[in-house]
Amino acid sequence: MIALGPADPCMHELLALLADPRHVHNMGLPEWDKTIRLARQARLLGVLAQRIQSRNELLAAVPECVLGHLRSATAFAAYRGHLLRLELAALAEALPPELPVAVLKGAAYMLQKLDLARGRLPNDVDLMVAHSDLDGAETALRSAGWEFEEIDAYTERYYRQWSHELPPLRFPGHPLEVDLHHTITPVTGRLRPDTALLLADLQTLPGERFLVLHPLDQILHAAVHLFQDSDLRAHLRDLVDIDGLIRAHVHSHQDWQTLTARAVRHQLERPLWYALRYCRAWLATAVPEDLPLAAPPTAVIRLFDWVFPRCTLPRVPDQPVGISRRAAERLGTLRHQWLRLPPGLLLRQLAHKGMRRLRARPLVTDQSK
Amino acid sequence: MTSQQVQHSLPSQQSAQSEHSQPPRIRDLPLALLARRFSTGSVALDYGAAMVRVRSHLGAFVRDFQQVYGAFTLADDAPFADFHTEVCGGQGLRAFLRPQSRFLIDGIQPFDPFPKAQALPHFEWGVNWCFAQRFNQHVLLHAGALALADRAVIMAAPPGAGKSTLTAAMMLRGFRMLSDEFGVLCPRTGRLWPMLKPVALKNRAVDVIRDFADEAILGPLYKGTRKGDVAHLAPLAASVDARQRPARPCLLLFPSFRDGAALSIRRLPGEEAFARVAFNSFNYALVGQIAFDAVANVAEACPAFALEYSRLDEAIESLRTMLLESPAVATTA
Amino acid sequence: MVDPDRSPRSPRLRYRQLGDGAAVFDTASWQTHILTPAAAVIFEVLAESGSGEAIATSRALELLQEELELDPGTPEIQQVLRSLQEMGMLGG
Repeated sequence: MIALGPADPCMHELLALLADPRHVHNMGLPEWDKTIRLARQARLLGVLAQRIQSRNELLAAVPECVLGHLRSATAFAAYRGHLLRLELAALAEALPPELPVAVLKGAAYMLQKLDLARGRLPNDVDLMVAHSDLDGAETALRSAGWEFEEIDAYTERYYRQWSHELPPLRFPGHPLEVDLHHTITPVTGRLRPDTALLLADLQTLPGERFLVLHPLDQILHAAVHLFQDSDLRAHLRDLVDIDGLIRAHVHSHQDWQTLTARAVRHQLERPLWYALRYCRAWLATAVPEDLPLAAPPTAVIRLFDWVFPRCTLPRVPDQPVGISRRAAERLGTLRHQWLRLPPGLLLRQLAHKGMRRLRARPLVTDQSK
Repeated sequence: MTSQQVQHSLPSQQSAQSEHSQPPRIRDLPLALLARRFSTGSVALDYGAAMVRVRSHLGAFVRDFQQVYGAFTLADDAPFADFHTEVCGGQGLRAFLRPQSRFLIDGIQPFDPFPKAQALPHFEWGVNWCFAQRFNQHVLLHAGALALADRAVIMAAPPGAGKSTLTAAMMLRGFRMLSDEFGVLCPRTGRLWPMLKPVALKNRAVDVIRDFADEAILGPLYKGTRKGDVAHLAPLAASVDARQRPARPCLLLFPSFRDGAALSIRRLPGEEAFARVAFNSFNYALVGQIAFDAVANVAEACPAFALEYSRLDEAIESLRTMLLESPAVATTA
Repeated sequence: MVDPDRSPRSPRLRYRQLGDGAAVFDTASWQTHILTPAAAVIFEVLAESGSGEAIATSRALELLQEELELDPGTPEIQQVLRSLQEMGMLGG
C-alpha cells in the first residue's frame, strides 16, 4: 500500500469498498458518515451505490440511512445517463451519417454497456473525429444550433491552437456540453500518441451510430487523463475507470503483453506505468508484477508517491486543507501544465490563470452534482 | 420502542431517544450550553427524514434557533448525519463593514451570504436546498403534509395560496405536522416521512397565526428578507415527538384562500390531481419512472379535492372530517 | 435516434388509469403524458389493436372514426394524436 499521506482515515474505507463491496461488513455508522461524503466528492457515490445495491446479500449489512444516500446517488446517475442518451441522440441527428465520430469516456462506457458505466456520473459528451474532419463536424453542429460557450479571446486561442479540443459547445437549453476532440492528448504536449493507430482501430458497436476507441486505447486514454486534466481531485474516478476497463478487457497474460506493447507504440508507457501502480495499490487491481514497462527513476517515483495521494484523493470537505495538500496541489498542477504545454507557453498560461484568479471567484458552486 | 421504529431509523439514535432517557428539549437548555454545543459542532438535529449536523459560532443564530426549535431535542453523539452544515460569519474586511452570515454544506458555500441578522432564515433556506438537491431517494413533493394518527393529507398549492398559513393553523388545532413545504414520499413504502421544520410565515400570515392560537410560538420577525417579512412558527411537541413516524397518504387537497369566500369543496379528477402533484414536485423529472409510479399510487389511492376558503377554522373542521372519512386504500406494500 | 427497445415484452410505456383519466410514462423519453378521459379511451383502443406494436397512422384514424365515431380533424384529437406519436404508438 502506498501511504495515503494526510488523507482522512476513512479514505481507506472508500478504497476498500471500491476494491471489494463486501467491505460493507466492516463499516459502522461513523465510517459511513465520512465515506459517503468522500465518495460524493470524488463523484464516485453512484458507482459505489450500484456495486453495493447490485448484490442483495450485502444490503442487510448497510444501515437504512446509508441506503437512502445510495439510492439517491443511483437515481441521480440514472438521470444523468438519460440526459447523456438524449444528447447523443440529438448529436446523431445533427452529424452527417458518413462522418466517422467516436465517443470517448463516459458515453463510450455507456454505449458498450460496460459494468463500470453503472452508476457512473457522466460529465459532458466527448466526441473525437479525425483532424481533417474537425471543420466538417464543427460546421454540422453549429448549423444544427450548437453554440460555443462564451469565452474570452485568450481562452479561445488557447483551445484552438494548443489544446486537443475546440471550446465546449452547447445546444441552447441542453444541460450537457459537447467537447469535440481530434486526438486524446494536447497536440503540443510531450505525449504523442499514434493518432493514425487510434483512428484506424476505432470500433463499431451493433446498432450504434457512434464509434469507440479500441479497448486498449480506452485504457491508455484514461491513463493519459489521469495526469492531464486540471481537476486533479476527479482523478480517483479515473483510476476507478482504469480498474473497470482492465477488469472488462484485460484477462490473459497475452492481453497484458498487448496492452504494454500498445502503450509503447503510443509512447504512453509512463502514464500507464503510474496508472497501474496506483490501481494495484489502492483498488487491488490484478496487475502482473513483471510487465515489460520501464519504471521511472526511483526519486521521481518517491516524489510522485508524495504528490499523487495528496492531490488526487478527496478529503472530508469541511476540514481545513492542510499545507502539504496545498503544496501538492500546486506541484500537481504544475506537472499537469508541464505535460500539457510547450515551455514557452507555460509561462503565459500560468500568468493568465494567475490574473484571472484575482477576478473571477464564483460564489455559487454546486458540489452535489 | 416498537420494531417498526427500529426499522425506520438509526438504532443508536433511537436508543438515545427512547422513553427511558428522553433528552431535554432545546428550549430547556441554558443558552450558554446550547451555544457551546453549536460551536463545538456537536449539534445534530433530527428532522425526521434527515439528520443534519450544524456548527455555528454566531450567538444571534443560536438564540433565534432556540426559539423556533424549542420542542426539538439534540441527538447526542449521533454517529451519522445526512448533511454537515455550518452557519458562520463573513470573511475578512467585509465582516466588519457589513456583517453577514454564510451557509456551508460540506465546506461549500452554495449561495450568496445573507445579512447577519437573518442567519436563521438563511439556515432554513440552506437546509431546504441540501434536501432538495441530495435526497433523491424520495419523491419530494412541494406540499404541506399533516396527519391524524397515521392518516395523512397532502396539500399542494402554488405560492401565495395560503398553504403555509393553513398548515400552521391545522397544527395548532391538533393535526400532527409532517412538513409545511416538503412532502417526502418514500417510493418504496408509499409513506410520507416527516421533514419537520419551523413554518416560515410571510407578511400578513404572521399576525393571522399569532392571533389564531395562544400556543403559537413565533420566532423573531425578519423584516425585508427576499420573501418579504418572515417569522417562523415553532413546531409543537406532539409533532416533534412523532417525527420518526411516517404516515400513509389518504387525501389530496389543493387549497386556495380568497378573502370573503364561502367554503367550497370540489372533487378533482384523478389525472388532474396526478398532474398537480407531480408537476409541483422538486425532483419529479429527475427521479423519473420511480416518481411516476409513486405519484400514480397516491393519485390512485387518495380522493382529491380543491378547497376554497376564507375562514381557517371552518376549513380545518371540514378537512378533519374529510381525512377521517377518506376511503383511501394503500396500494403499495 | 437511438431506438429504445420496442419489443412488446419490455413495454416502453407505463400506463396508469386514474379515475376515468390516466397518466402515461414514456421510459424512452422520460416524459409524462396526462390523458383526459377521452384521450384515455383513445389510448386504450389503439393500444389494444396494436397489441404492443406501433400502428400505422392511417389505421389509427380509421379506428377513431369507426370505433369511436370521432372526427380526427378537430384540434383536440390532433393534439392527442401528436402525443401518441411522441410516445411511439403511431408509426408510418
